[in-house]
Amino acid sequence: MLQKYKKRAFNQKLLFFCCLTIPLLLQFCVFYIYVNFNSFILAFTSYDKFTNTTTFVGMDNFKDVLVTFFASEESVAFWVRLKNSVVNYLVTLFFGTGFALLFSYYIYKKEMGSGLFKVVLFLPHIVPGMALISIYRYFVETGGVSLCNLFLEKPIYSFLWSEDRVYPTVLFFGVFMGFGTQVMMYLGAMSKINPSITDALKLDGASFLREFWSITLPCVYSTVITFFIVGITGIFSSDMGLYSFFAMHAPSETQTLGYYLLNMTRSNVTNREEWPFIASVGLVYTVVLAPITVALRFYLDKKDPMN
Amino acid sequence: MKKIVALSLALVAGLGSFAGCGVEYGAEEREDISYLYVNGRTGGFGDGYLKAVEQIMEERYKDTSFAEGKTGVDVVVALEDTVDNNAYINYIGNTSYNIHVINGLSYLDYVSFNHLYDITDWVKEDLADGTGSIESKLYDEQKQALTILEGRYYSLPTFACFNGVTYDAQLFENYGFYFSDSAELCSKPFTNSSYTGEAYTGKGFVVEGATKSCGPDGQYNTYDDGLPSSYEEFFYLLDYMVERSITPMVWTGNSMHYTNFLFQALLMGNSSKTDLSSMFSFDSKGEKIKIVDSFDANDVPVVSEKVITTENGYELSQQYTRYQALKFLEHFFNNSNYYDSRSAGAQLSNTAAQKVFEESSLDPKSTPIAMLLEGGYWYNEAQPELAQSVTKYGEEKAGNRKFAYMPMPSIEYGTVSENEGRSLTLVDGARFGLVVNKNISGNSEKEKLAKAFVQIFYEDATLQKMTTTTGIPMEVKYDLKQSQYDELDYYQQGIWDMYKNSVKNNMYVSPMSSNLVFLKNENTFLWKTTTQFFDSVIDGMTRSYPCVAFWQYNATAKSYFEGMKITKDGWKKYLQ
Repeated sequence: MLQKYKKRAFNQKLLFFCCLTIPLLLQFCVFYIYVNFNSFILAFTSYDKFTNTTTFVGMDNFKDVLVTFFASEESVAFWVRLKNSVVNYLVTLFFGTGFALLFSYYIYKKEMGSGLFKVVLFLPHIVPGMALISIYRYFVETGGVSLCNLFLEKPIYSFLWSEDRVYPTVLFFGVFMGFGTQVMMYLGAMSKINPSITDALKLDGASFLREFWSITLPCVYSTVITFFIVGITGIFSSDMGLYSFFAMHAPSETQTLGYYLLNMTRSNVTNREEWPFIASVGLVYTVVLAPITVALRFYLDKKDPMN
Repeated sequence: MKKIVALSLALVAGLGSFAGCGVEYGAEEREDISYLYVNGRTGGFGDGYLKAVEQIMEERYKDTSFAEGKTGVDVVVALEDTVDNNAYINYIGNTSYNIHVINGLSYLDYVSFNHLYDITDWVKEDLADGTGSIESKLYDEQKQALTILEGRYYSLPTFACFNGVTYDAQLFENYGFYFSDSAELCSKPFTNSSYTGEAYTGKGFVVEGATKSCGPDGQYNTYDDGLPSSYEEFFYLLDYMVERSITPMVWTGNSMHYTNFLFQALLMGNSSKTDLSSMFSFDSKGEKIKIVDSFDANDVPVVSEKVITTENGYELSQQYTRYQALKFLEHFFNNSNYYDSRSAGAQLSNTAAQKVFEESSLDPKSTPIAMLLEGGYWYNEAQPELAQSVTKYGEEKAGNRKFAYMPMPSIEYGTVSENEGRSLTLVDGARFGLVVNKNISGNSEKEKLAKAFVQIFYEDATLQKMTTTTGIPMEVKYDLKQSQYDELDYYQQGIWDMYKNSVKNNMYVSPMSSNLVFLKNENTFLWKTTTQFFDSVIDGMTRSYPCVAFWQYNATAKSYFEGMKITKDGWKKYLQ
């Protein structure tokens, strides 16, 4: 009887487990393994839409990518995109992560107004991204412009169609919107810190910041480096929300490497002849990024103060 | 309880993975009738034109059997404007709809995905109404471009959509903004031209008793009478509007590519048919085209005339007409009095700009706006707003509005006299196309139904009905009866007149081509404001909108024009 009960329970669990995992596995196979495999193959081929034929072209597409990036009239734009991507990463890292850690710690310590901060920071995340961007666009282009014109001698008409203002405007939105996610993650990590450690610190008379520096930060180190590493991959993949702001025509000064790839893909969705080039751009990004990411991860893991 | 919860969760998790895999319409409800599913991605044009075909087809075949045990047909029409243009290619591969009308169609891409049904036989067969075959109604360039794949047809043209400037004709009449035909009976408020910086050499504005000038086409009693015929006159008009406290123009700054509608309109105004058609065919058929070779020390363009073939197609990037248009744009965008300040930022959506425009002359608190820069679909899109205005301001004031499309000037300086002008060259700016989904293959019932639908679609009576329904001409050969023409309102009649005039004078250009360079690089050469057609590379950075380049990057007409250049070396990339 006991054996039969165990068997039934096992089957129920197995059924539940399968229902949960099979879709995920399928998704992984289709959207990761198949897509990447297909992308890899594409990068070594060319396609002719008139004859509907695919030809193996070896490394030709990679040569085209390198020429486009470094030896064509587009190379200026490439360096600008790289610079923008790095700036985006650094700003997000220092301001985004820095403030997110401080805010999380403040909320974690249940200081005054921490509940309010929690709501204010998390609330935007229940609104769809496109809606938020529309609201933000409208806000900066109407209220923002009017407000600035109260103080400026020469009136401005726009933030988003302005050489000097467009990049900071988009960057601010990205950092601000990424803030809530980071706070949520750090808060989760901080809540796992054993209270007996913090209690002991209090007895030892450690200050608010000493506790943060010596205990809290080392305890959430693995979460911090996760964001650090993911951020590195974002240098080549993040579009900073530019597509949502400008669709296919973001001003050149604001574009990132991620936006370039996304835009190329979006504008050639129907044009199979361009896919091999796009796939090659993706692979070139991977070749540059993969060793950096792996090495950095290895190095930072070694530096983990909790190890 | 645990078991129920576990099973429910498993069910939810399992079914969740199939979310999105659905059909777009309900199951065929009746088994005694045939169904055909038609889907349009036609934005502002709505589905009225498809409903018109639906009505004709259902009536004609009410007693016909397309499959055993079934009599009659139910055409199910739906709009699918939620699917992004780029995503439509995936949509069409998975949908159960049988016929589609698609905006911005590059049919070769769809064929490369094996999504389209070969309709060659249907296109070549004579239609039931005795007006010839569908093929006989196509323009030559359409026939060539649509049969590039071994002479087979996979797509057919539908709407002819003209982007550019719409003006409030009532406001023009009220304020006397039309140009006068007479050198004596006219008013000239300024002695100098702001465009040339010298003494004004154009016509004056109408005064009492004066007749309107012949307009850019140099012919009287046509749709462009009294309108500016040169850039000099155009800016004279704008200066006069500003003096009379009228805002000359508005557009949506939310989608800045709309400003390139003005670029398109200017090119249609100042170009010959060969100038424009060779942009897509890279073949001037022996005619010479004005090309800017360089600029002299005073920044005056050095122009030569060249015959264009595929080998030297890159020369077209330095067509003189483009430079002329850019000079206009530079002068226009650099003077903020010429447009509503909200257009320079992202404050107005396209529908908001339409509303601002049409209400500006009704609302006493608003500054009237004379012109709207928009896509050719705006009038249909704005119908709900126009109806609201009637409710708000009354039938007398807001009913029967007089809006009209404004052809851009054909020359730069002076004025056009009778028989000296040029009929407007028109180019469709949206590329709507009709295709049949390959999902009907092997289903004889659906094949018969789709054939009937496509052939009815191109019968004269249907084309006429669709025109009176949407007010938009269809991009094939047909005509309207006088009674049908009378059904159109003021704006729609103007569009029809312009289209027919252009066709009659052999000035109509279908923006398609059988040239391989064009077909392989449509993203670069397609006549659309969202492609790279209007891009310029200045100091290594790509600019897509002249206005933004002028405002923010100190670009000039010359620098923008030079940035559009494709070199002989650069052309090799397109020839591959």
